[in-house]
Amino acid sequence: MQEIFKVVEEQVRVNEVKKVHEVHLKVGKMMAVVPSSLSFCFEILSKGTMLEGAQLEIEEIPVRCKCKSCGGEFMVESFIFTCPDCKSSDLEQLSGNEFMVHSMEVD
Amino acid sequence: MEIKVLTNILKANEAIAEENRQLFSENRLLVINMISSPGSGKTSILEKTIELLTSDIRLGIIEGDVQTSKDAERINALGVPVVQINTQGGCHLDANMIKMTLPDLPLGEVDCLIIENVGNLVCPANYQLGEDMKVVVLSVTEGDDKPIKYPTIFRESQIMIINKIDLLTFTNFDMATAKEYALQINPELKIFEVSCQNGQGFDKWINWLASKIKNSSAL
Repeated sequence: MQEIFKVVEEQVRVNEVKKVHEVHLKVGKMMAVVPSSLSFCFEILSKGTMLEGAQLEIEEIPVRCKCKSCGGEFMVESFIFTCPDCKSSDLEQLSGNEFMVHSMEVD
Repeated sequence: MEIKVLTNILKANEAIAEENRQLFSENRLLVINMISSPGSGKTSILEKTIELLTSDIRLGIIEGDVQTSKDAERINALGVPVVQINTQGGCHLDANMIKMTLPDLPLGEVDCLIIENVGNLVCPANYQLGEDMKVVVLSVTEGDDKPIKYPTIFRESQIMIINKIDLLTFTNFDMATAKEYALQINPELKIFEVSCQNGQGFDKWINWLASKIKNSSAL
């Protein structure tokens, strides 16, 4: 959470932001982040700072893989890392490990 | 207006982890980040590993705990260089804690550094420390469904040690199920089954570890 504040505060400084309305996060399913807990922490910790009242928008990114054997792309369900078509487990993970501040809505 | 930020939240940690990695590589060190839930036997596995590794392999240990230096005292009693990090409530070690600790360890006189993380299967999975590999420990008393409950750490690890196998007959832990769950998350995972009580299975783990250390160090 502190890291999120650091990234946002840096942007506020660099862009001479007066008011932050929204912070948009992208969080991969592999990161084991609980959106409601993160939002709750954000609300509490932002009190009394210039981020007070800003909305934390959390976009969850599914785990996607590309099969190196048959070339198929698929969504990983229930963390089973096996190609549903050819059953190969030789995969390239395309998404699901994100944890980033994507954008901010500001004045 | 909208500002595109596109900044990885863990970027600062990963930059320091990379510095650590450079330092480890200059010292030809194999570095292991050991992760498990509390009470699975990480410190006992370390004690046994120290006892069984031949004396030509020099270990160094970093102990991560929320409070106390009890684990470091156990390791220190075996004559191995050890530093304790207390996170004062923090649920994981981060790269900077490791960086601050390194001056207290004789890196030039060590072949393998094992970092025992804070007992927790969630957050430590996301914080790189600069290690070569993560080792996840699962004990049979925790249940065979742990891998699918905490998939990230089983996906991130190269090794899984299943500990307390001497207790198998007293639990409903099914070894085949535990392995199947772990391997469906990470088909590359290498698995060792051990008991710190009777020493069962340690020969395979020690042989594997010793050859890994010899490959990465100047031994």
